[in-house]
Amino acid sequence: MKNDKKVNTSGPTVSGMFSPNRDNLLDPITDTAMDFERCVQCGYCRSVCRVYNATYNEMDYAGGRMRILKSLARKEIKFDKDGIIDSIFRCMLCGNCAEVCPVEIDTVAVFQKFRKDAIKIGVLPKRLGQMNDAIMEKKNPFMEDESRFRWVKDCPEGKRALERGEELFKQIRSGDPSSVVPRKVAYFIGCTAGYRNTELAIASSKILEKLGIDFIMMPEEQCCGSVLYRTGLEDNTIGLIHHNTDLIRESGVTDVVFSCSGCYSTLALEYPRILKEELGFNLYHLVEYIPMMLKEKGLKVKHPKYTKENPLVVTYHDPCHLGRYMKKYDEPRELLAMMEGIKLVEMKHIKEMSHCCGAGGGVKALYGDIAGDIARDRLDETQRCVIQLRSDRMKEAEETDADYMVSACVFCKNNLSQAAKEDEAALEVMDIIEILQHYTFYK
Amino acid sequence: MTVEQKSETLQRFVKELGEIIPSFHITTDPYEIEAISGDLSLLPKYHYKFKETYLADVITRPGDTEEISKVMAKCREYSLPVTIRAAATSCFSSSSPTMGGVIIDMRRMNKVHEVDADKLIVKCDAGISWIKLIESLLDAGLAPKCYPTSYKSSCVGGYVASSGKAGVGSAKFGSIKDTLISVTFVKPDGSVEKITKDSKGDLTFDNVVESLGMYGVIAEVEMSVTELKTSMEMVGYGFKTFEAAMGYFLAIKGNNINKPFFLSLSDKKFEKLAHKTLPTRPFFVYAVFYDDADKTAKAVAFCKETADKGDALVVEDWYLKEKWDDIADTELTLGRMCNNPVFQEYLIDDNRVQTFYEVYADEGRKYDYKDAFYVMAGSGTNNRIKLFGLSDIANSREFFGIKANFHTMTKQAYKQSDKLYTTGVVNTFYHLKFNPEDVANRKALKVKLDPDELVNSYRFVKAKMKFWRVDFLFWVAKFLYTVV
Repeated sequence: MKNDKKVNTSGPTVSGMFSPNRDNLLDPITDTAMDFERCVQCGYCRSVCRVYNATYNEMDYAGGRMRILKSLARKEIKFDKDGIIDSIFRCMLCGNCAEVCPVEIDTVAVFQKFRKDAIKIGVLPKRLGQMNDAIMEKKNPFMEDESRFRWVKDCPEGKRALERGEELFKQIRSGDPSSVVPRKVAYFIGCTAGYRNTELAIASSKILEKLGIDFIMMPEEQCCGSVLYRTGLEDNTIGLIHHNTDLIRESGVTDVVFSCSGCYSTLALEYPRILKEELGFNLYHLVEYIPMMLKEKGLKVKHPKYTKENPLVVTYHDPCHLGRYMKKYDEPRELLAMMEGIKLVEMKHIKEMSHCCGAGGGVKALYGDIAGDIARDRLDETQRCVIQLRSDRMKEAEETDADYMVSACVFCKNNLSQAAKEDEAALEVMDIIEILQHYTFYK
Repeated sequence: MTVEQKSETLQRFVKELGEIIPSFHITTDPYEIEAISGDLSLLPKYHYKFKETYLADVITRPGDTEEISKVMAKCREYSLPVTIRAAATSCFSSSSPTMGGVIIDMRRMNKVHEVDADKLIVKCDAGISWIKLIESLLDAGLAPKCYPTSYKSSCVGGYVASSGKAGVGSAKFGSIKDTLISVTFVKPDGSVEKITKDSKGDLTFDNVVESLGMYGVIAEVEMSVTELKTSMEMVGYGFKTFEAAMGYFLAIKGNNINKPFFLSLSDKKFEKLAHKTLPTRPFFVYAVFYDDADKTAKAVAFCKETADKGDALVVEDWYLKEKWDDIADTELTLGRMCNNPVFQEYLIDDNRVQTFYEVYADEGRKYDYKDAFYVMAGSGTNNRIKLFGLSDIANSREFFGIKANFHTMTKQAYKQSDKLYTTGVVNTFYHLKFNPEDVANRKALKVKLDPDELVNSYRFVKAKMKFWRVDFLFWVAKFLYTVV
């Protein structure tokens, strides 16, 4: 047996924080709704919880929250609608606690249920209420009245895809099946790439077309519901889930691709669970779909400037939704390896043990952007926590001496870019797709 | 003091505390208090629910020794009970504020102050978790000499305060006391003293190690560390009888060629409660050697030679690797199979493990709950024995039956001159009953340092539980389990 340091799993000399040999362990007895009862209070989750390590507040990590849940279940403490908000919502739902839990409690499921139950009995932060109203009314969380496809005016590839989509639905709804030109691939752009980070939608469209894929975009696409689902408003996602699922089914595409890890994991994990049925189409994040297509079509990619001798040095940040949620750790790395002139240097905490950027679980939405509206110390504390989390992750990336920190999640990119600006970091943050768009595809 | 007066006093205390440490590290939030007022054990709630309190009034998180000093002085000024806690992994309600008052949460004190790779010394805050310390030392090519198997969450100060005698590295390098060079200690009056092996005052090294937080706060620790070694080897053998397994265990433990870095003995039930596939013998001994290549090779050769003399079955490499990777989790994974895993830990001498096991096996015939037996070699002749019972608190007959069996075994441990591994609220009465001399010595020192008995005083000096009462209750529990 070699003395592996296992630095990438934060491990000590002999055994990492993450125990990888669960295959031979007996499956735990489990009941998601009451799984907090099985918490043995070992505190392993505390060691990996980024929120706890910023606040040192006992109710901020999984074990502490489980203790509160136990006490609430036994009616040993009162349920105070205002007082309990922080305990419920100050969690990124990043899932790192679940990775290290020796009794394998699905912490994310437990806490999402906690949020759902709390909301049912009247706990609803003001900001969350506003977001809910926006999504219900406008089908996006940004209160935007206009189409999520305005950006196509600057992107011929996107424009063509949207037109193909419009045409497809027109053909389908014409009642004449013979007029339908079937399409295989749909690009689900999501609200953030559609309204705020249009550079990602543009890059994704360019790449898909470079791959020779006649993809479509769906003009009637609505918010996937992720933000509502994560914050406990699951019941309000039902309409969105049915709408998007029906829309994709109606289109007849077999593959749906995503540039947003949040949309991807929501459709892949939550839609079938809530609908209680298979979706009937395949879902891929672009960072896994592109390598698949490159291999299928025998394509290679090269950059006009970066070469093996003169590489672009990048470090990869695993988004929680793509990594811990969807277990896609190798695919984005495979894509980076296929990109000539890219040299990947890893951070200390990667893959299962990757540190959350701080934007997940609705925390940033609820707490992160409302400076000047600080009514309570706790809110201030939470905002500082969000800032510290992204700053810590940025520092870890800087230690690699990379030129870019790349990721595959628009929320990670935005939050970490903010940290890069605030901290005047030596590296920039980008989505892999944004870098890949400048590559040439060749046989 | 009336409720109003108490509330007013606490408000003043909190306000004045805010002048010492940042306000967001002082809290009276009921949810945070609920979350922090306990440890792995939920029992204090039931023991203390109808007696006094089991919740703190205020939580404070000092960031350095100076802040601790001021907080301690302020608590004394206000005559507020103090409970010092960090990770609270030693169980048995060692960190339960059963007198209310103030919790001093040490986990903000988590810095490494100095790593001297030449002298092989590290200076750090006592609230640092072992995993963080291990990671920091790893960067310098160093490692702690010994640390608890709970290293993923437990803190350095707690291991010192509970005199960590058995864990990873302790069979090879000794107990935590053997690695300590100095301890920076904050006394109940707020004064700070650096205690070394040469200290001659009221507080000596012996008093601080295993002080259980009674005399004050372990704020900073200086200890010797080891360089990372180049070779690690693991061996494992299965045995038909406990006697054969124990004989092998002791032979390896006593082999001076190269002491094992980690050594354990477990019964098949322990392995079976977690693993789908496992070796077939009833008892297993696992040893890890961590040293230079020639030394580990010699040690492994000795293990093989010794095993060959008896009827030992070699455990396959894949299982050994799995065991070592899961070394921190192995005692917890039993919790996958039940709602309430319960356990009791004992510190048993090499010469008396066999007797202890025989009594356990004999008593075990009266029970049919899922149990497991696990021995981990400690420093010198020490061993930590852990008994497990898989229960569901909803099945009170079984739950208290398991507890009654543990009670029988605890009496056996003291009867054979051994003791419990850790002492908390829920088992301090054993120590009071069976070790009155040590209790008298502790009380004498306590009176000198903390005359108002404010600091972690539920152990020994203000213990509420009486042995005879618990003995009677467990007699009833055993009767209900085994007879009715």
